[in-house]
Amino acid sequence: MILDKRKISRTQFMFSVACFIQSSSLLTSFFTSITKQDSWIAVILGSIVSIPTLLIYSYIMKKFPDKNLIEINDMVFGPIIGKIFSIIYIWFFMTLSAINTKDLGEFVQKTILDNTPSIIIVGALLLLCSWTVRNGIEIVTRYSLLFTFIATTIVISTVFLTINQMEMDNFLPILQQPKMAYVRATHIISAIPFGELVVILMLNPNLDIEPKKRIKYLLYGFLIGGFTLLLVVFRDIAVLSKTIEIFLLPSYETLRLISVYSTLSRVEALFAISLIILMFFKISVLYYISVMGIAYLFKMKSYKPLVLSIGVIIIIYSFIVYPSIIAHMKSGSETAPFGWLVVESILPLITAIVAKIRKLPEQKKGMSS
Amino acid sequence: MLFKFIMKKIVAWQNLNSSNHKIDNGLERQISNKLGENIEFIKKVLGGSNDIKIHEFIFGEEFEGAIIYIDGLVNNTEIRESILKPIVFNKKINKENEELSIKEIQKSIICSGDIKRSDMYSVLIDGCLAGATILLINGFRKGLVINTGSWEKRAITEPQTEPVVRGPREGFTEDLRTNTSLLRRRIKSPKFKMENMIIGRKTYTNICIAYIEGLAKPELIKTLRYRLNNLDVDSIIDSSYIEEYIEDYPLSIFATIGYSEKPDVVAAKILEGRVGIIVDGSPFVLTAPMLFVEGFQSSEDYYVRAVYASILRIMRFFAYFVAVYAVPLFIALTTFHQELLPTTFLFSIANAREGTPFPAFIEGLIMVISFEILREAGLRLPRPVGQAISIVGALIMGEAAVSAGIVGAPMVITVAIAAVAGFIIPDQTDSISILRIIMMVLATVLGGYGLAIGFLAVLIHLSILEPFGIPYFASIKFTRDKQDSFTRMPLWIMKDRPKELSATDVKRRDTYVPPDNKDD
Amino acid sequence: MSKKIKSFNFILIIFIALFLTGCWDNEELDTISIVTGVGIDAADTEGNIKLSLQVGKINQEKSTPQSAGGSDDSIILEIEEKSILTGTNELERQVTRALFMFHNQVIIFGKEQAKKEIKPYIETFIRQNDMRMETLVFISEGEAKDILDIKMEQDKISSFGITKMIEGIQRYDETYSIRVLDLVCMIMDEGTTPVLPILKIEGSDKSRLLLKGLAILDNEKYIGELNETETRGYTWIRGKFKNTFIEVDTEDGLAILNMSNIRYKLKPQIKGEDLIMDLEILGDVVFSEVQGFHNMTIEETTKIILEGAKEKINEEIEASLSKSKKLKTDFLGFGTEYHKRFPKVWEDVKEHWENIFPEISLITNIELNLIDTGKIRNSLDMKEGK
Repeated sequence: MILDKRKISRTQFMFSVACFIQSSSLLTSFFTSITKQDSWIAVILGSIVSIPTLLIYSYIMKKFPDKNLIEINDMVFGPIIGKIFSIIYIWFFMTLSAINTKDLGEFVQKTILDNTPSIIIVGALLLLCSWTVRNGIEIVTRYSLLFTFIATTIVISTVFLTINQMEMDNFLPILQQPKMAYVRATHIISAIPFGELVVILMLNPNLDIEPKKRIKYLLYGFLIGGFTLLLVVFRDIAVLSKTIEIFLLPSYETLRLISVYSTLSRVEALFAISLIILMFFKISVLYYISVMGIAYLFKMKSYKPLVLSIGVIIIIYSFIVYPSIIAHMKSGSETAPFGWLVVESILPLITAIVAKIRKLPEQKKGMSS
Repeated sequence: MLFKFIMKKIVAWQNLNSSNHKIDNGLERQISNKLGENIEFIKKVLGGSNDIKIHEFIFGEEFEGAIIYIDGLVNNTEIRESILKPIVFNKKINKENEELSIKEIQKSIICSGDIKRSDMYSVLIDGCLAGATILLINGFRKGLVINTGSWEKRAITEPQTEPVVRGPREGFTEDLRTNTSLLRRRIKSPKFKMENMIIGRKTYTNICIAYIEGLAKPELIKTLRYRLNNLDVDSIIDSSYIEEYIEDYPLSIFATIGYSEKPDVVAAKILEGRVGIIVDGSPFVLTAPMLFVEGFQSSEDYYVRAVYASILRIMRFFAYFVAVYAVPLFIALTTFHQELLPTTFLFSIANAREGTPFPAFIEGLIMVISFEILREAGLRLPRPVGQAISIVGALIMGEAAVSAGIVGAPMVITVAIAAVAGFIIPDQTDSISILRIIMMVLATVLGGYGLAIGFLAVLIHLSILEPFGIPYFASIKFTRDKQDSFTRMPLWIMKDRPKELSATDVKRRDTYVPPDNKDD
Repeated sequence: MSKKIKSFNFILIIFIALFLTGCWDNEELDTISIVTGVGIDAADTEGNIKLSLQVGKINQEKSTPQSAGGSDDSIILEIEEKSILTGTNELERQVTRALFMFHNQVIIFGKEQAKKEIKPYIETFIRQNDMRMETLVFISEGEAKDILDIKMEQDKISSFGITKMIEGIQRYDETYSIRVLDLVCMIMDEGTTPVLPILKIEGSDKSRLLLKGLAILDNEKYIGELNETETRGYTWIRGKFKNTFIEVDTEDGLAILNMSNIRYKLKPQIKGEDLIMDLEILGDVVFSEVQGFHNMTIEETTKIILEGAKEKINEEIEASLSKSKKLKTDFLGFGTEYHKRFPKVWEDVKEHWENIFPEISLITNIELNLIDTGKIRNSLDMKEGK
């Protein structure tokens, strides 16, 4: 049973992964407030720590090349425990959608439209996403290359535009934060931008790539995304110096400082553009995955009737997910990563181990033949 | 979704009608062997129009014959020289066997290359209406339809819609045959096929599908053939009728079927795997499917040097953005994001805006709409008057409106820039005009965020469009075989045809000695 | 099918209705007044400030090409309030148009206010989204309001004049351009006392401004200021000259050198118990003007002048250092250097840094490299060299 027959090509997959990471890379304050000028170390550590998780994903993808996470759960754990696992995942996907929707809504409201009701801002975007989701995810992954290109170009060009304001002294002193700070920041990075890649397990059946090569494109995409994140953090520290720890949107503030002979200035709109585009991508993917998850959970014939209702649920959920920005920040840098860790790393690990023990794909083959 | 729904409705409606596709008009019957009866019947059917000429004569001593034709659609000399003269002067006609003698007349007497035998009134009358001469002989149950069609037609001239500096200057005319000959002269391959069909309950318009076998996707040809065959309409006056009836997304603002007046353009498109649709009576030949990027490709891109052509391409894409976004962006910047403008610039705009009565959106709308009116006026009026209108409209009214303080000068400048930029991409003018107004509304409501949303919505819409199953926006995906979108690579680099379009014969060339004498 | 379409239409209609009913943030240009400068002065009442906003005036008359491109006048709005935002809110009720802060060019604190405190007011400028971090910050010699009020000769709006002036100076000297970001960095840096440039009104008709040195803000309160020589010393130590003129006045004559391609190296060192700062300044010099040096060869002259120049630079640095030691405040940023290079040591000393700091010895090493003598080799007074 495949509900969406559109296929994602290898380039699309690679850049979708990159795009997915980049979309989080623009909101870096979760960890820059912890490790301050050493955040770039945290990014590198976080990337390294994430690689085992990615290997687990790719193992699952290799073993079950044309099944998505919900089906895999059913196969590996049986219908009852599998359903429980699936529900946890769906809850996670919905929460992620809601959080990202809220992030974008808050960003837009804070920087551009401070009097517009957030239901309009979020509603406009979610309506657009629902249109995309209805037509299948390939509609938007097709643009992943374009989006990555836009975002990377903006990041790289702003690095050049701020080069006269950068001071390498700002990275000093190195490694003087308390040790727990690094652990926490690494954890956050591996959980928030990188660990969210667990969503690719839901796109698994749509991939038009040989199962063995999926890991390659996953890692390429991961590297592009990770590199952008590193560049962003590097630029922000070099320009903002100490103040990076107090800003909620360090990248936005960095871009506001750009001024090349007072003609090329006030380019923070670029940040807003790339953030909106990337967030649109991310929310579309998460939204699609939530819809697909529920459709597969209830073994529906078509996912389309679900689209609008799930969209409404995401909007409502996004209003109540965190009471305030303080709670959001606190959760983002303290509680959420642990919860995410369970869903993003431990559950897939259990899945992989159980599948290995039960030798599942082979068994299934034997049954079917 | 809406488009799909409407498309489905249209298809359903077409199917509904196709059941009574051929209306019985009393013509589906055999002719009689009495000449008088036949002439009587034809006179009745054609209603004694004054352009019907019936000429009765006697030949071979005892045969009574008649030729029937429509004056003005036939070549009188040809009728005289190749039909009348040979028949009348020929005395030896086999009188015993009807079948043999009609064959003899067809094969050895009449000097014409295109003769059909038929015993159905419908065939005879259709042929007559299309410019053929009907030959009926008393006592024979069959008539001959001899193609003698020749009528006054426009000479091949340089098309006015697509002028070029360098490149072929021929243009299609209203005549189907001329058009097919123009194409055939460019593509001499035996695989170049032209299929004929007749559409239109009243107009009986000749339509020709031109494609290269093995190069165009078979599904594409099948779909087109299906759609055209199932098309049951009263009239096809111009190729745009066909376009509107067969396109996948009739309500989309983007055209999914292209057109051109130049045979070289159509030939090039056919050679990329597209299908041309030539409609009698229209100098515009359709090419299906049209992809988004085609609107930005001009025929001259391929005739000038590649680097310059690439620069022109990029400029066109930029101009498209300017044409669509200049006015909305101006509105968004001056009413939402004043912080993004440089301070001195903000002051000069503020000075100009001071004292103008309307909000920026209304001001922009007034200017955009008056520009559209002026453009339309300039187009519809005879050319000399049209220019006068443009001058009055653009110069005098604009200047007066600014100095009277009704609109601000920056808005006039912005609208003018957008308008001029829009002229660079003639194929996309309609989508630009519509998008511009949509974006203006979005910019007024949500500012830059609205513009971003609008931009994404256009992207998604483009991504959903798949005319004839071929991704509309595919050419701008940065993949390898897209050497002909943002830039125009040198011809020797573009060795593959567009992947989505061509079926099997993918390679444009097999061997080539590149300029540096290396094999690649 | 039709049900689906109906629901879709329903949503579409709601969406369009929502869209078309409100333009919540739409602000036409003729409904805002663009604030170009903010001045904060001390008020008589305790805890209050006198807030003055400079608002660019938009020409009411039809704009002609000559007047377009910048208005020629500004308005000063004044109010006494507890904080900046209460002040702007109060002012908004008094003026016809909404105050638009995004284009604020300068923030000027009156000296009297600086003596009280500036930190709580800086907070507003970094928290509010409509305040930009690139806005320049100054301290005014008199009242900030007066500086905003003056009409400069070429730029009628003084804050534009100030920005242009700083932009001009910035090409060779970065000391005076202190943005909100830099100020916040200095406040946040451990072991650096913030400094701010001082503006003073000059000229007979009070239409010129002068950058008069730097104000030192210990604990974000004005405690003293650097005169011109001390400011130059500060600039040398902080490495902010891109190129500069050095005036060498020796017994034999006067020379003006243009120094460019300047490279600095400020290196903190710990030798046993002592803290030593190593300052290295390398630069290329060009003779710009030479007076005097009668009957001396160019070689001798060069030697004297270069020695003089080194001495001069050393003097300036010493002046600044001694001021710093006198005031017992580390505006030269030595503490930050130690914090960056020797974070472990810094942890021990930071508690009583103001006592340790005056003990630091600064070792300067200046190397000047004469690369050009201008269009002529010898001066008119000099002896012919052989």
